Amino acid sequence: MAQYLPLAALLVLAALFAFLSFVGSALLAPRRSTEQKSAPYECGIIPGREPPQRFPVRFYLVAMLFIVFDIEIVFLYPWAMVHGDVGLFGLIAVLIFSAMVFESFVYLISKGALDWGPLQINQRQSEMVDASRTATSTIRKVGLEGRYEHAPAKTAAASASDELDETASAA
Amino acid sequence: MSGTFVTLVAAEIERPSIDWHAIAPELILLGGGALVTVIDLIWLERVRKLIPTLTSLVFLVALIPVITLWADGSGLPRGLWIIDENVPATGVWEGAFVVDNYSLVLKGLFLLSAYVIVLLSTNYMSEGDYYDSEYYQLIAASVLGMLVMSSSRDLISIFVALELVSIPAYLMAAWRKRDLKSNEAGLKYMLMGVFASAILLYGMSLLYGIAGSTLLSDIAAAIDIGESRPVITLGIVFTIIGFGFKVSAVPFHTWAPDTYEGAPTPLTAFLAVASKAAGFVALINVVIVALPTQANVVEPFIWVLAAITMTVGNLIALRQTNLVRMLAYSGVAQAGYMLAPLAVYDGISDRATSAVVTYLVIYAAMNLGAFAVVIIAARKTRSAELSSYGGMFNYAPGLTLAMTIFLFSLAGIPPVGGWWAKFEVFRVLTEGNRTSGIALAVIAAVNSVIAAFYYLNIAKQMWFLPSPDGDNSRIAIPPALLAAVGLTVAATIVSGVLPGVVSDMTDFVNVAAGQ
Amino acid sequence: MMASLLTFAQETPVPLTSTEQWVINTFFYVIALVTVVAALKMVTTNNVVHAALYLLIVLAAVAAVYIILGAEFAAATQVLVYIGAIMVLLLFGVMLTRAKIGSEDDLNYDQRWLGGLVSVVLFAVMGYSLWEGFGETKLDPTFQPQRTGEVAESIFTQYIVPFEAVSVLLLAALIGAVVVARRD
Repeated sequence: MAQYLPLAALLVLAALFAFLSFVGSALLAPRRSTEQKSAPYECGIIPGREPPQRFPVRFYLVAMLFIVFDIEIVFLYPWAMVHGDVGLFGLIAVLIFSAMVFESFVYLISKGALDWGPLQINQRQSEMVDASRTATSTIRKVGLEGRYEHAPAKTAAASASDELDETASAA
Repeated sequence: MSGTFVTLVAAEIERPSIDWHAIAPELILLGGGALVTVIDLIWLERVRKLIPTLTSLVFLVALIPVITLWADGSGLPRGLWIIDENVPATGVWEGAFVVDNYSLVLKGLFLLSAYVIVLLSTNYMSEGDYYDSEYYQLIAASVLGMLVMSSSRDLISIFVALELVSIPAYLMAAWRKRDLKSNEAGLKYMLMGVFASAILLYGMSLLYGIAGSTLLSDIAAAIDIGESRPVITLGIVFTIIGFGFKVSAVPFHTWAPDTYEGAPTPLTAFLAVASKAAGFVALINVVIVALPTQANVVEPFIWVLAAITMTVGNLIALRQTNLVRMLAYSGVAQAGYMLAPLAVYDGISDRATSAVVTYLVIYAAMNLGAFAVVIIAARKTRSAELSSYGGMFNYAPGLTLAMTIFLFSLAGIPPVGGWWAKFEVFRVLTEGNRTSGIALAVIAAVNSVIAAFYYLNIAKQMWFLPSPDGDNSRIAIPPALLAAVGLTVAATIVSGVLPGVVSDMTDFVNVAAGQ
Repeated sequence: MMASLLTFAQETPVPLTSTEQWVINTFFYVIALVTVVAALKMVTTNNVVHAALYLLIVLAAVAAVYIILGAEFAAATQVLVYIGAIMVLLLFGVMLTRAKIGSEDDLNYDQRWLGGLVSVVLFAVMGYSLWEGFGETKLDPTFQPQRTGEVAESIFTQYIVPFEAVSVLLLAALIGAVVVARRD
């Protein structure tokens, strides 16, 4: 139990510091509040409009990447504690683990998921997709919901399987 | 300082060497999957058409060590480590990973099913403008989870394997991103699956709390025969409920129809066959290895699950007009038959296990075949409605015949495969002359008759009714789909005409607990 | 100190004094109270962001319970992964969706009374079973915290297969998440 004593002492010190700061500030600081001082601050300019409600979904990918590498670190830590004992075997096991996890990062870069410029369409279009399909995809990309029903008729071979699901959905 | 450090490092653990042969299928799949991803990352569009071929090659190569291990049967069961008398082995080296006949049959089943799934997916994915190379990488990851599951005899391994099977499947169910149905499928599957995982994990934590070990054999040793304590019962019930979600047993089946309908059809086949089989494997591992002494708790619970699963599944399937939804509910009902042997496993756990595995093998062949026909037919009719199958005999007699074989097999009509699977189940149910077993056998028999009605209704539609739009032009079948149908037809017929082929594989001695 | 960490030499177990036991018990009751209150507030609050922050308190309190039980690695993981990463993802999720940041009146589920009833029944069953099963179990009076080295050893012996499987799981989850989340 004694090994937690420094931790407890630090906890008490931290709490004490915060408390004393508040008390000191309340006792010593002059209070001359004006409207400008209590207004929300954004680079010195009064905010003209509200921030957009929805954030781009790409932020989510960054968060996912963060989680994946966070978990990797959690697993690397115990290996670091015993790396001498588990020897070459442990090193190889951890290398395989890290390589697999790192591959996900390479994936993101290679597929352009971390490109923050305008959308690049070069990857998704192939000669397999016929013209009518591309047109419908482009219309959908604008993000109009409910466009699906009014999509123009597709050529039979290219979209047969798609049609299956559409009709199945209708049932 | 450096001197101290050297002496510390010198205290290396005495480590038995790894049995590379035993772990080879998993390693090949791990390395092959990573390689496919790297190839995709480097060459991108240029290799896009090659990815399905490469993935299926990885599955076939991984099958080789499974076969050699089977042929080298004398060494079974074997573990992850080669432990001989000279190395002082402690408990931590043993028992978590076991390769025995049982796990080899299942690994073969999973790899071959995955191969057929890739055949089914190739045209669907490339023609639909989906992210197809990622799809195959996720399939490979999911199959790796299934292989690990077959050999897991440890709660943590089972849980990680189950998540590895499920999480890629949640994402693939939402693969048709522009279709709301598919979004619903993925979301529903994920929410229900995560909920089930939480329940499962809680049940497992209780079992661990009782035994103080995650090894299934240790849990079996820690619980006395017939010992009944609320906390043990609670742990068992929660664990089985968790697996019940994965195998879509009623009342935990609510995700199945919507997910099956909304997901890409090849993935539906994957969920209905491989993913469900993985859930059964986990259930068998836990029930047979960890709970042989708790039949008084497990048997009644599974009995009720099996009875309502087959009944509800069949009754709802009767009313379906969409073939994919009907196959989804029929899959629920079939899960009921597969659960049945586990309701009477006390004392005959080997026979019960081999009946379930026989059913899984034959079910995989016939159900994959049925989905293959659905996918092929949809290329022409663009529909999975039952009525759209009318008149198929006129323009696709071969396909109609194949579908009829699968339907007869699903209904359990000899001489095609399904009858043997059902026969094995009935034999186990009636073996002990126990009232509960015979009652369940009667329920299963009644259900088989109900099921035959809607299976044969599909056949009737195809053979005798006219096609709804009078369009009798032929269907062009791509080679990959043709190969899938051919393989599944052959497997279905052989398993029915020569049941010995299947039973030679599935009449293994037992599920090995560990070394 | 370093030597004992690396070789996991068991220190001679010293039973806790009664003062120390009193301190531990008091800590536990305080943490348990905080957990329960925060969990209740989490499901009853009308503000999604507040709910996420109450969840943060619950997770932190669980980490504290791990410390009391001597599972230091589990506690560190809880802080790193749950409080560090999962919480960030959760708040990201709130920002990314059209959820209103702020109080919402119609956030409550219509059948919450039924849900409450089910929870009460479940709580009774689980509480009784746990009490009956583990009610007599006492914390080890010598209190040996589990060394991270022991966790590491079990990862590299008994759990080596799931350990490698987790790496594939992370890879597959990220690839799938990118495909599903990405605009195309």
